[in-house]
Amino acid sequence: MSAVPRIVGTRLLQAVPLVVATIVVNFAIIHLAPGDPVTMMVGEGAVSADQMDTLRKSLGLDQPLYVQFFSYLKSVLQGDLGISYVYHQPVTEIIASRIPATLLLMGTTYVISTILGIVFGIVAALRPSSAQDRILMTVAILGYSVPTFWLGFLALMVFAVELGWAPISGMVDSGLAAGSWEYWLSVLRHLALPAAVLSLFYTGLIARLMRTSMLNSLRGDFIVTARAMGLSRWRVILRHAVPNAITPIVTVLGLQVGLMLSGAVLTETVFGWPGLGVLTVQAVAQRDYPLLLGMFLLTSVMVIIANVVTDLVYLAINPRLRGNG
Amino acid sequence: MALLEHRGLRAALLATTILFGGAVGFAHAADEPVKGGELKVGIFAEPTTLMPLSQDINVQIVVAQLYPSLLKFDGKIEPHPYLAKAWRVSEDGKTYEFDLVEGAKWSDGKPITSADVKFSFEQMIPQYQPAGKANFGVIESIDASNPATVVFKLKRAYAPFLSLMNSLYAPIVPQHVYAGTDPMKNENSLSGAITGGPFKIKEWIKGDHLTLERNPDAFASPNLDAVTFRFISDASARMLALKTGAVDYLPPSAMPYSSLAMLEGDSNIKLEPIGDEAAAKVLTIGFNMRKAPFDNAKVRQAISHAINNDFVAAAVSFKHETAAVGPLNSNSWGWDSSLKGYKFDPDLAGRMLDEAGYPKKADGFRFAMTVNTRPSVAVFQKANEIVVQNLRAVGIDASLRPLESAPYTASTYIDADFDVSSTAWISAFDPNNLVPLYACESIRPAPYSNFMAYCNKEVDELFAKGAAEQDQAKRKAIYVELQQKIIDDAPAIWPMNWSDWSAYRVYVHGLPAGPWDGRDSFSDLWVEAK
Repeated sequence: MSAVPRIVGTRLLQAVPLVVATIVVNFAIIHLAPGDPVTMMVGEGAVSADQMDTLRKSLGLDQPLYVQFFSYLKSVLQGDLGISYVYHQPVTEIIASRIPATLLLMGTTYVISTILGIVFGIVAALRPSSAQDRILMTVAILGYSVPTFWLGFLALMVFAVELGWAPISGMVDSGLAAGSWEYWLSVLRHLALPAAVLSLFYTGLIARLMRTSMLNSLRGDFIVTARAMGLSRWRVILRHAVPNAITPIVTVLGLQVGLMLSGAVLTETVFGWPGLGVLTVQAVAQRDYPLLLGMFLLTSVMVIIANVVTDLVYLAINPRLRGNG
Repeated sequence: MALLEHRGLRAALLATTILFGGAVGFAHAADEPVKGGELKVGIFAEPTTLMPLSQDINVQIVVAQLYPSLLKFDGKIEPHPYLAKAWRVSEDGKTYEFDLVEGAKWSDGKPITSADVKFSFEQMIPQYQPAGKANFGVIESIDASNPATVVFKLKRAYAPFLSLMNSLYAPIVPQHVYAGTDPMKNENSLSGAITGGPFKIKEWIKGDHLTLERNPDAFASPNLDAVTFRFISDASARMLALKTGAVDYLPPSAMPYSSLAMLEGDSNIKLEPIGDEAAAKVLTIGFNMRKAPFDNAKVRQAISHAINNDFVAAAVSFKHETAAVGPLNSNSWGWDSSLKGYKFDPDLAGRMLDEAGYPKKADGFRFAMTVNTRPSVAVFQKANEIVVQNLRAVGIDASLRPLESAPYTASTYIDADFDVSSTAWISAFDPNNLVPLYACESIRPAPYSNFMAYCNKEVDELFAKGAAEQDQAKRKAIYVELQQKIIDDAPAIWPMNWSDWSAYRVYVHGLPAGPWDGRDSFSDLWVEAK
């Protein structure tokens, strides 16, 4: 068992250079892209070259690129992601203000699609090529392959425009006291459609993986042995087949956690959900370097952390890995 | 020095600057305005700040409700009292006096005085409003010795001066909050805590919506109790929001032509180019005259004959617009039907290119060129797709060069690294607004400048003459001559008169009809009781 702390330590150490490399690559990509934030900021109207130079200087953009990089790196290590060019507020505050909305949408989606995906995958795998398998897998493939923005509009047309059950856009109605019962009810009503659309996508993805993995697992010798030992059918499935089948799903789920915070750009856009995805798109359009770097850093770090955590979860659910780590 | 009373001035301003063929007035019905109610506005992005001098369209529509301006305007750019209850202009056109509304207060209780006006025009607008220096460089001095009256002395008579006193170009900001600070970084520009307009901040759910409520202490009491701005970045989602009544009003910046086509025929919704009676744009596709073959007038004229403007206008606008003739929108008072443009004639274009020394080569093409376009701006993208086809039809090997916003601006205005590039030029409300695009002095590496590097001294002289002249009929004659010169030089092609359309539900009345796309005070706006 002494291998476990060693594995954990190695994984964490490996993550550090990854994070630094991420910062370097992010910084380089953004500054190599054509376009100048100052030009974007002044917008319409006649601006003198002097005014633009002053602005450029005040943002530190007149410095050589390597100077900009090291001053950025230094701030990041101190937990300061800089001030947004566009919002004139600390990047950490802007991002933090959008995290709850994204977490709410993605968290709901994550829970729903994990449960449904696993259940559907198991049910489909139990009777391959049966009607239930075909129906479930057709729905799964549709959910996975139909573009979410299109599905989003379809859902809006049906449930919001025609039936009037759901609101069109946003996260909450105006004028409700924050935290009140009405406020949360309004949030729930706004959440239903985007969460359903996103869940359909992720459920499809997970269900298909789970089915394949489950089919493999059900063909294993240990299943035959377990059945031969006289264990009941459901006991075999739940105690032996499912735990074996679920390991690859954990990888996918782990990666999804990391991507969750980047927000669902298209879905957020269609439903006007005030999350990180929309924020990122706007930061790109406005060349808001600090905000964009902050978003990239957050996403990268989350993916790295999720990978480490996934590895650790592996250790927990797969005893074979502990011995020879 | 004799001063005209403001009634007289209004007539004079009307005579000197604006005259229309038909009467186009307010967008509201004749019914009595109703007090109370809420207006929900769909805008395409969250305001990034509440800085009163911001150039962000989505900030401007909000801060116009939060800060006063001296005057407000109707669809004919006729001035109406706002923070200034009366005004006078001297006969020589060089002195403007404004009497401020008595008892006007900022939201922290401090009075709004002529010192705030002086401070705004001296310390804030020229430095931080991008068009500030160009618009108000003509001011020689401002006298604020009487707190209730502000007096502007101009270096020379300047006919457009009054029309610039709107909340977009000239918001009045509190001196005691902004003095000595950078307004972009000032805490008040983030919170909007101390304001003085008809509305004040009620709640701001980041990323979702921003709600304003009536400012009970305002110098101008609005009809509405509240205004909510909803941030909806997707055009189709905005359209659905209007269809279901989740929002009541989509300002022009939130209304692409494609939405127009989809909203047509809905009896609950009105579609109108409000305010654009006077301020409409022209789609302007300019040549880079610094380089061959576009330095050759004959080539530019040939290309002007090669483009099917009628087809571009109809296809791009879903048949809501017509082809333009020259740099001014045909709704402008400065435009005239006698102006002679270029007929669509590909054969003639081909012959002219032959004569200019660009015959077809073995591969069937005369020369290659790129057409800058922005895929995210539907008008540019669709128009340029057709332009490329038209160019290829006369043997020019044209191809689209799609660029997104930032590189597009850099390529067009800063680096001058393009063959042709598109812009939308707002010029109609005063033809003097053509100066930044067509005057020699406007050739410089800055956004919204003379990116074509077009320079004709005769045109410059006419610009100077037009701005100094006070008589509207004489001004028009000057501008017609000027336009024909520009058209003959063909620094650009002008395929389409481009209006900004507003969409709103039928119970909304009194939308700001000024030429600034709804980025104006909502104090007169009202909604029918439900």
